[in-house]
Amino acid sequence: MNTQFKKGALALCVLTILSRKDCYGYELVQTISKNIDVAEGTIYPLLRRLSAEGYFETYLLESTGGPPRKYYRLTQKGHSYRNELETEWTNFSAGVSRILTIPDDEKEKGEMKS
Amino acid sequence: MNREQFLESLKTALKGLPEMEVRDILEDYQMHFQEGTVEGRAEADIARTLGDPIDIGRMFRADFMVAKAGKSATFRNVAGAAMAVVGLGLFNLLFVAGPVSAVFLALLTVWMLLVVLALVSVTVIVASVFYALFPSFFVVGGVSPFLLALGVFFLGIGALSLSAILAICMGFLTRFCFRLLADYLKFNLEVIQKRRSL
Repeated sequence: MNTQFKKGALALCVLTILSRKDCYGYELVQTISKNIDVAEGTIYPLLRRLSAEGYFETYLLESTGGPPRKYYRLTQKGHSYRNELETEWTNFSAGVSRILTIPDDEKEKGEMKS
Repeated sequence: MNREQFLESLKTALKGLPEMEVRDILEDYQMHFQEGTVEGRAEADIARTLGDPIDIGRMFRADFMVAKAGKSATFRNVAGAAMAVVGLGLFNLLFVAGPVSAVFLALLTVWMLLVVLALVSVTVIVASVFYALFPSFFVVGGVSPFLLALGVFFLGIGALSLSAILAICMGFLTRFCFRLLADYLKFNLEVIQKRRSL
C-alpha cells in the first residue's frame, strides 16, 4: 500500500487504540506496526504532538522487572477528536469505494438502456 | 546500527531543542530499545524498524519550531519554523518556502519604502533649517527665504509624521502576517502529517 495512505490514518489509529485501553509507547507502536508497515520511530513524534494538543495525557506505572513505563491515556478532548477523524475517514473511504465501483454502475446503466 | 549509535544520531539531530525536551524524547526511544531487548530482539533489528534517526529528529524539530512560532510569532521563530518544515521534504519546499518568502519579501519592501520616506523627510527638515540659517547659499528668486524654509520645514515634518503613522500600521500588519504564517505552518504540518509522515 502507498505510504501516503498509511500515514494518513495513523493519528486515527493511535487515538482509537488508546480509546480502548491505556498503552505504553512500545506497546502502542507494536500494535500499529503489526498491522501497518510504518517506520516505528515516526510514531513517537506523533504521540508527542497529540499530547501537546491535549488529546491524551501520560502517567508512569511500575513494570515488572524494568524501569517504570510511560502510559498514554486519552482525554475527553482526544475522544471527540477521534470521533471527528473517524467520521472524516469513513466519508473518505466510502467515497473511494464509490469511485472504485463506478465501472459496475455504468455497466448496469448500459445494460438497462440496451 | 545499535542502540547507542541510534540515540547518538537522534541526539545530534535534536541539537538546538531545549534540554528537557531532548531528554524526554531520548528517554522514549531508550525505553523502546529496552522493551524490545526484553522481548529478545537484537538492537540492530529494533533500530532498523524504528527508521532513520535523522528523519525522526527532523520531525520533532519541525513540530517544536512550529509550536514555538505559534506561541510567539516573531520573524526569527517564523523563519526558523519555515526552514524546519522545509527540511521535512521536497513537497514543503513548494508549499512553504514559496508563500513564506513571498510574504517576507513584500513586508521587507514596504518597510524599506517607509525607511526611505523617513530618511527623505529628515533630510528635507535638516535642509530647510540649514536654508533658514544660511539663505545666502541658495538663490531662489522672488520668494522670501524664510517663508520658503518654513514651508519646506513643515512639509518635512508632515512627511515624517506620515511615515511614523504608517510604521505603526505596518507594525500591526507585520505581526498579523507573522501570526498568519505561523498558523499556516501548523496547518501545513498537520496536512503533511496526515498524508506523508503521520
